[in-house]
Amino acid sequence: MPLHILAPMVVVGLLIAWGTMRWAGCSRDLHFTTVEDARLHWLRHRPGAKPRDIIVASDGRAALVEVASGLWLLRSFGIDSVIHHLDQAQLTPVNQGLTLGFQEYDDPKAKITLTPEEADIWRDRIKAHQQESRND
Amino acid sequence: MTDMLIYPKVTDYAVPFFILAILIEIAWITFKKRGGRYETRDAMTSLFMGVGSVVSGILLGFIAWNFFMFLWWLTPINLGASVLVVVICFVLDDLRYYWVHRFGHRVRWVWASHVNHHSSQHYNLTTALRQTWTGTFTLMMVVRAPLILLGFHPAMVLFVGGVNLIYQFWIHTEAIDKMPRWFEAVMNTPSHHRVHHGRNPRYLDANYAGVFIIWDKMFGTFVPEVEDEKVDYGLIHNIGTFNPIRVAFHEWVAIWRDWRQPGLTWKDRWNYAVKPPGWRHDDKGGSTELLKRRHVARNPEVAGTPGFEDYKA
Repeated sequence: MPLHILAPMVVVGLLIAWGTMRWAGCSRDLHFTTVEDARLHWLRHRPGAKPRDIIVASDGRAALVEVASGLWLLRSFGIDSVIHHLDQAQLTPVNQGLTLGFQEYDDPKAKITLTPEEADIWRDRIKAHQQESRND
Repeated sequence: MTDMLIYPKVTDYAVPFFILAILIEIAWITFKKRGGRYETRDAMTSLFMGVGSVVSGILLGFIAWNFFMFLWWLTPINLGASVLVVVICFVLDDLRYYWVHRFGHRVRWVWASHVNHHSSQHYNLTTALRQTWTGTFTLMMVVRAPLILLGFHPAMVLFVGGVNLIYQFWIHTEAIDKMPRWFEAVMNTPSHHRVHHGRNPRYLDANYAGVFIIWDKMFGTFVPEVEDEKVDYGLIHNIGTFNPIRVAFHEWVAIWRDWRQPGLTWKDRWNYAVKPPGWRHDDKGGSTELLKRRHVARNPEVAGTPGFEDYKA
């Protein structure tokens, strides 16, 4: 098929697909409504690692999860979720929370929206954990 | 052999059908409230990966084509272009697909290219189009060499490969439960391929087939979709980006970083490229076998059931 037909067809197709999904309500974000909800999402990622403690951010889009292997971030990713080990995360305080930097090329940064009180708790918890890891 | 043979580029002609089918699937899921899930950014990432794959084919396709034409020049055999020859070529190419796909999951160098197809946590028709940009670098084109040396024209081999990919489009859906029994026995279906996209320990490294599921049954990699275990889609460690460039290259970057670890031998570096994904030189990796073993230890009742035939409680 000539490129001058294929290219416009693809562009129009992408726009129609995007518009249809917006119309159909496919652009929502996942929120962890309770600790139990966050726990279930965590166990989907790591079925064998039972959480000892979970702190859910007040906006419901992230949670700190402590398991035997250390401290992890569980965060919403579209209508799904992803996890990160926090051993080597770089913390940067920002206006409405924290930015966490990771070494992974597939997910180098996560902005976590937190109240000032939450941000203090999260920062202290992560730093304490990282200190413990270095001592081990 | 240098005579020319021209076939239509079927994947290009299928584009309007792909778009229409995706719109129908979205409408079906929206109105019926079942049959799968769509997420705008995830689906758009998949579609951009599809576009990038076509662009990559335009930019790098000449490498494989010249290699195939060289083989065609070498071979003294020309099987012609009869319908029977095209059908035989299609079946043999599907066998070729099975092995390339199996290497794609068991050899990390090839997985680096294929992983993006599995990087969505969704399973819908857009997932079918989440295709690689880096297939040329895997050198898996060599697996097509026997077909050309046997006398199948390179244009025919690429044509049947395109038909194979089009067939696989419709099986990326949750909207179809099961096909008739005879069809499920012979052909790859949405049910069989859902298993292939599963990250559940039961479903890991199974159902590599393209069109005919018989290859998995022949080579011992077939696992049926189990009614009481819903497929959980995605990777063992899911990626957290919708950026198509990061999706396309993340595993190549991971291999590079593994190679650059201090204290590695050249054998370690070789193994990081050719061993299955998850292998580590310090034995801290998580292989499919280890994940299945751990799962059976936690759930002894599954030992001996599909996907765990070789595992004891």
